Amino acid sequence: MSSLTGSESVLAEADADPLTDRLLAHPRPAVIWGGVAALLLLVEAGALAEVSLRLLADLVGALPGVGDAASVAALADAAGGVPTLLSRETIPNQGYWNGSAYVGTFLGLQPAWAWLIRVALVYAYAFACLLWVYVGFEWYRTHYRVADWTPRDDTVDRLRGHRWGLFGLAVVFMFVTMAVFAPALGPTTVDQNLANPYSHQISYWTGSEVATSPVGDANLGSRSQGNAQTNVGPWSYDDFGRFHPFGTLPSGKDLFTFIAAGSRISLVIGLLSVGLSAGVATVFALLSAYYKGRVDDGLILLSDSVMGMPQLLLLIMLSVVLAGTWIGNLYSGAFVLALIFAGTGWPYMWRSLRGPALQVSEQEWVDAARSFGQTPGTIMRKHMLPYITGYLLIYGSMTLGGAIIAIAGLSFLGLGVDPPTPEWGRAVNAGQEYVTTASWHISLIPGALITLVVTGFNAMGDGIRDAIDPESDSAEGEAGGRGGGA
Amino acid sequence: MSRSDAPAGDGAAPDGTDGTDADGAQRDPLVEVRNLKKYYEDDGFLTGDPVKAVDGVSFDIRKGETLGLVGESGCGKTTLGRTILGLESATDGEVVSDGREVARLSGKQLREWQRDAQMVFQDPEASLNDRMTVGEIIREPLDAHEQGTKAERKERVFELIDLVGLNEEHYYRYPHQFSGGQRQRIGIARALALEPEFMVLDEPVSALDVSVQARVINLLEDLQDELGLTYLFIAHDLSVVRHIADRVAVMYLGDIVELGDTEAVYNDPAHPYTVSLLSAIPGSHTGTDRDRVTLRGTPPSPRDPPQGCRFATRCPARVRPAAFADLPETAWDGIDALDTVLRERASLEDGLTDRLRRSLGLAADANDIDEVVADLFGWHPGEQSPQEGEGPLTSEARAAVEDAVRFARRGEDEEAAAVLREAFGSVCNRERPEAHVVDGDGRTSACVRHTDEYDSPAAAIDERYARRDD
Ligand code: SF4
Repeated sequence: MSSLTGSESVLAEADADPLTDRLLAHPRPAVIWGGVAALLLLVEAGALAEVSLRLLADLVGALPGVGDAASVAALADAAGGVPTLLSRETIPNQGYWNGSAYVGTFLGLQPAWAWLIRVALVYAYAFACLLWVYVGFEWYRTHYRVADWTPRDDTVDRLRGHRWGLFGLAVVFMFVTMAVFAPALGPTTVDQNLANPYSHQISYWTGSEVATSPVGDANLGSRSQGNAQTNVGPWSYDDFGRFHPFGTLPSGKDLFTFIAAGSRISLVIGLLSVGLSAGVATVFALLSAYYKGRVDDGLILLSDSVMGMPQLLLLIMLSVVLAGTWIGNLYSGAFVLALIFAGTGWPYMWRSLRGPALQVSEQEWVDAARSFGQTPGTIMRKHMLPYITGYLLIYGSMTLGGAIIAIAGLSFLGLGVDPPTPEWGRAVNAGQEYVTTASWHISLIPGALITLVVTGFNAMGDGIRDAIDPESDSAEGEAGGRGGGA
Repeated sequence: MSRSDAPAGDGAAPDGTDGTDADGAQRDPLVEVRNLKKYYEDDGFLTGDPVKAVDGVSFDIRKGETLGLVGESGCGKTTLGRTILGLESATDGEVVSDGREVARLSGKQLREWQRDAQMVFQDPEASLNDRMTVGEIIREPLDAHEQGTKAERKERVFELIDLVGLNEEHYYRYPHQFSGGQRQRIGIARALALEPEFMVLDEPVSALDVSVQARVINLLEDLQDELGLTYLFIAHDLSVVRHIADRVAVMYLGDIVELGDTEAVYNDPAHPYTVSLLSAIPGSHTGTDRDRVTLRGTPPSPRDPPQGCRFATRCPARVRPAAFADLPETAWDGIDALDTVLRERASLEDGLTDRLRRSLGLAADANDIDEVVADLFGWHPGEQSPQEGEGPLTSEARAAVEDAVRFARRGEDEEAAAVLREAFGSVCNRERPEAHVVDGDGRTSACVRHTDEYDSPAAAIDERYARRDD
């Protein structure tokens, strides 16, 4: 071999550079990209810090006997004071008419316009972030990646030309943005309008003078209960000069704020439950495909017995049993809900993944890896997992849609997330008796949104599937993973 | 089992001999295979017999040689290669290398064996993970065995890429971007990464274009010279094996029937199966009569191989009982064909309905067997007792056939086959032949005709073809 060692070329050494060297050799795109990142971050730094600290405070408060939540919460409040561009403080929409001009709204605009500007800016910001990620990928591809082509490139290119998939992606993007920026998007806040309306005051123009009233009283005056007198429909002001983009609930609370806050909890439960069940399903699918035989049989038995459990009964039972315990109270009961979804939902996803995993395990490269003594763990991770991640994304996104429906369904039945935490299903439930009346918006708007979001997740799943495997037909017979639930 | 860095100076390297096998007999065995068996049990609970993919083979692979392993597809040669490597667990027997028994290795010794012995797979499309770059693929064995630092591994990969005739810029490409021949080079580089001394090449060129095949073969030969490798070269393409192998082992139905120096085997095959196999290559040898030896039918199922010699059902030189010495060749053709039919029917009737029908006496295929006999021997057993001298059979032989047919008409095909074999069978059907040394270089052939009692296979085949011509 000595004669061969001497023959390595200059090219070999140049190509062997780690990424940092390649970055240093050609820094311009990376610097621009990093600069944009800093800018995007700066604008929202305060909100980011506040959100993460608040999550921490919730966690500390929820865990029994750990630390002191108040100090963390205080820290979060302090972080909340850092000015952020896209906050309700910078672009306020809550103000009142004093007879000659709007007081307290952004640039003295009508509350509707001020709100609209903020929403538009939030979405523009989210879109900029998305673009930033995509441009980052493109630039990495053209400037820094050594491989001029990877199998993933084809997948991305195919997804780019998949209209139905892009539609799904757009819907999911809108939904996720709504969930992430929920506090900034609502025309009012959860605390002020929904949770503690009597601890807040608003000023309003009575027609002759500016008066103040507790929000709770104002809500009573802006109820939507079906007849023309007591109804605040979409895109209208109530008697207190407050703007309601989606109208109000039968209790007079703002529907848009309710939905925005509800989207967050839906997304969190959905992501948590799908993430957990996907993790379990993936590990089990790899194990059954690699070891086959006994391991596979055992997992079949386990999954069958889990699938044999009545999911709804389990949910009701557990929510009763756990009610009042710290874990039951975590995130208004959403955490337990996610755990139950994950615990009962993984067999469906495992079944969907097991086939593809078995197929990969039969490939010769798995044999080849075994022949030179690669460890089972690495074989599963390197030689099998990449071939089922596509399926994971497909089934994951479809299951997420299912989970959102399931959560809404549970709240509709009065189960699941504890009131008064906003949840879409509860809005549908609250408005169901007014569907044929002037207050149709209470049920219909959240209902339509649920349908749209679930369709979006499914469309995204379809798009990913077609992008990964161009030969597969969209009308595939095999059902995707099931969301499970009511 | 560590190899010095300068293989040219290695005592076991075949330098100077240039592929010929002049000192072959003195070479030490690198791998000793002893009575190796690999049976596959079915998972199903209704099936009975296991598939006997490898059924008791013994041979040595000598240091620095290329041992060719040939046979029809399904004869168990790939399974044999994989079992030797330890990719399949042996049912019985042992594989010994350097004092280590491969099947029982674990821990550190197993890791060592996995370094010393590598495999190149048949299908370069399927044996490379196409989500990894070429560099990652070749580096993986090094990573798995944690050899050297990261930089050293990378260095080594570039070395290997160079060694198998690829370009360094290929490091960051994906297998999709390569032709079949290049992909096989990647597979070879991966196999070489851990500096093995023994490689199992499982039909490494059969998936490639003919023009590319030669180049990959040359690469393998160069690598062997340079690195002192020992090859087990599995192939069904006989001419490729003749080109590359020092010795060749011929495999039939889980058994090695002949093993010897390549040129000797190709020029003067000893075993009837080798004779038949080689005569399939046009112009492969000079014996005029033997050019026409054809391999009839297909191999029997490895689930239920013939009891005596595995090749007895198709052998052109099968020993015949003295009582029927006068039967013409056409009669023997008919008897062999009838035997095949009965065996096939017997293996098919495992189904429940068949057994049910048989117990009810409803052998619906009674007519079929009559038809077969009529076709083969020119008389219909269901209709009349035949005239003397009609058809190719003597009266004695006909009586035996009638006996068998009687069973077959009742649907008892297994018994029918047994009766037929009782009458027309011989030592070939009863005893599994031992391997006999057939020439000065230690070539072995597993056939009873190598004992003094019988004519040699070549003589027997020549005689039968001569009779046929009369
Ligand atoms: S033992 Fe008999 S059947 Fe087997 S190869 Fe020799 S002659 Fe043919």
